Amino acid sequence: MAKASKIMLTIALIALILGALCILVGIITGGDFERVKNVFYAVYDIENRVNGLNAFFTFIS
Amino acid sequence: MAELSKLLAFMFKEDKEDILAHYNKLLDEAEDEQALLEEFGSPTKLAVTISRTYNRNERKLSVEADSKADVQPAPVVKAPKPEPEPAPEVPSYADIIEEIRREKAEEQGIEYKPMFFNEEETPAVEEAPVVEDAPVVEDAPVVEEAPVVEDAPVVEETPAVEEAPADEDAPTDEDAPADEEAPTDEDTPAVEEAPADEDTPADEDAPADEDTPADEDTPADEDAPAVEDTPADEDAPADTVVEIFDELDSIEPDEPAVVYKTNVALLILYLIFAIPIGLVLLAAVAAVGLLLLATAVGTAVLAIEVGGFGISSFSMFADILLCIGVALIGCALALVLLWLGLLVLGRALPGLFRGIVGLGRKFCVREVSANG
Repeated sequence: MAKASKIMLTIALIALILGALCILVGIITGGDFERVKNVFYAVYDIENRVNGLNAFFTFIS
Repeated sequence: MAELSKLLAFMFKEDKEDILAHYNKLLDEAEDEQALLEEFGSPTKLAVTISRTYNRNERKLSVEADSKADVQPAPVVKAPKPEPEPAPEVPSYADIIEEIRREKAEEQGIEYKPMFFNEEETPAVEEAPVVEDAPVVEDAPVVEEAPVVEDAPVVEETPAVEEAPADEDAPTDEDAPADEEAPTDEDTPAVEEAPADEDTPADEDAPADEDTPADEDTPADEDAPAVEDTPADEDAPADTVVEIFDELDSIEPDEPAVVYKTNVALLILYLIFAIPIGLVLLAAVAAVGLLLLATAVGTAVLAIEVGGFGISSFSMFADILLCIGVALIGCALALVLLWLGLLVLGRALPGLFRGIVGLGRKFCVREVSANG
C-alpha cells in the first residue's frame, strides 16, 4: 500500500511539473490565456450553459 | 558426560550441573555400570529426553532451583564428604523426569523402567582421600566437570580418563603410571568393576565410556581406543543438537487458559449508542470517499477534454502548450484525488468499523482466568 502510494504520488508530481513547464514555455513563446479562454467558451458554448444553469437554480429557489 | 554436558548447553547452568551430578552419582553407585549406560542409551538420546522434560517443567525447575539456593546458599565445588540428597520433600529434577517417563510409559502401554535408582549412599566416601592424593588427579585439566560431582568423589578420577588417550599414543613407558594407579584404585568399589567392562565388547561403541573412571584406570583400556569416539558419534551431536532445537521449537508453550466473559447489559447499552453513531460515521466516510472519487473522475475527464480541445482548436504552438499544461496539471490533481478516494474507501471505512467493534469489545468483554 505504501509503495503504491509512493508510485501514484510520484506520477502525479511528474505530471504536475511537466504541466507547469508546458504552461511556462507556452507563455514564453507567446501564448495567451485570454485567447484560449475565448475560443474555449465559443466552442463549447459555455456562456449559454452558464446562463441556463443560473435560470434553473433561480427557478428552483 | 562431557558430550551430554555439551548437548545440554540450552539449559540453565545450575540445572545442567544438577542433572550431570545425578548421572555421575548414578554411575558411581551402580553395581553394573555398563548395564546402566546401556539403559541410558546414547548421550544424545538422553539429552533429548532431558530437553523435553526441561521445557515442559521449566517453571517447576526454576522454583526448585530457587528453593535449593535457599537451602544451600554456598554451592560446594568439591565436597570432600558426600552429602545425601538435599531435599527429599521437594521433587528433584530426576524425580520430575521419572514422573514424566512413568506417565509416558502408561500412555504408551509400555512397561516402565526407572532410570534413576534410589540407592543408599555407598561408603566410598572414606576412600576419597586416597583418590585425591593421587598425582594424576592434581593435573586435572578438566575443571568444569569437577564441581558437578558433589556426592561422589570417585568421579574426580575423570582427569585420568582424559589422560588415558595420551597414554595410548605412547604405549610403552607412559602406561606405567596408569598401571601403578590400578592397585590403589582397586580399593574403591567402582574400580573393581573395571575388569567386567574390559570383557564386554560393547565398550567400544559406548560413547559415554570416556567418563567412566574405572575403564580408563585399567591397563586393558589400551585395547579399546574406540572409546574416545567413533567418527559417526562425532557427527551425531551436531545433527542431534539441531534435532533437539527443532523439537524444542515445535513444542508450543502452554498458553494460560482464558475465558472471555461478556457483560450483556453493557453490550446492549453500547449497541444502542454505537449503531446510530457508527452508521452515521460510516456513511459520512463513505460519502467523502465517493465524493473524492467523483471529483477525481470529473477532473480527469475535464483535463483530457482541455488537452484535446487545445490540439484540435489552435494552430499556435504556444496556445497548444498552454492547453496541454493545464491538462497535465488536471491529470495530476485527478490522480491525487483518485488515490485519496481509494484510501478513504479501502482503509478508513474498514478501520472505522473495526474501531467501533474493538471499542465495544473493550468495554463489554473482559478476560477471566479459566481457573477462576
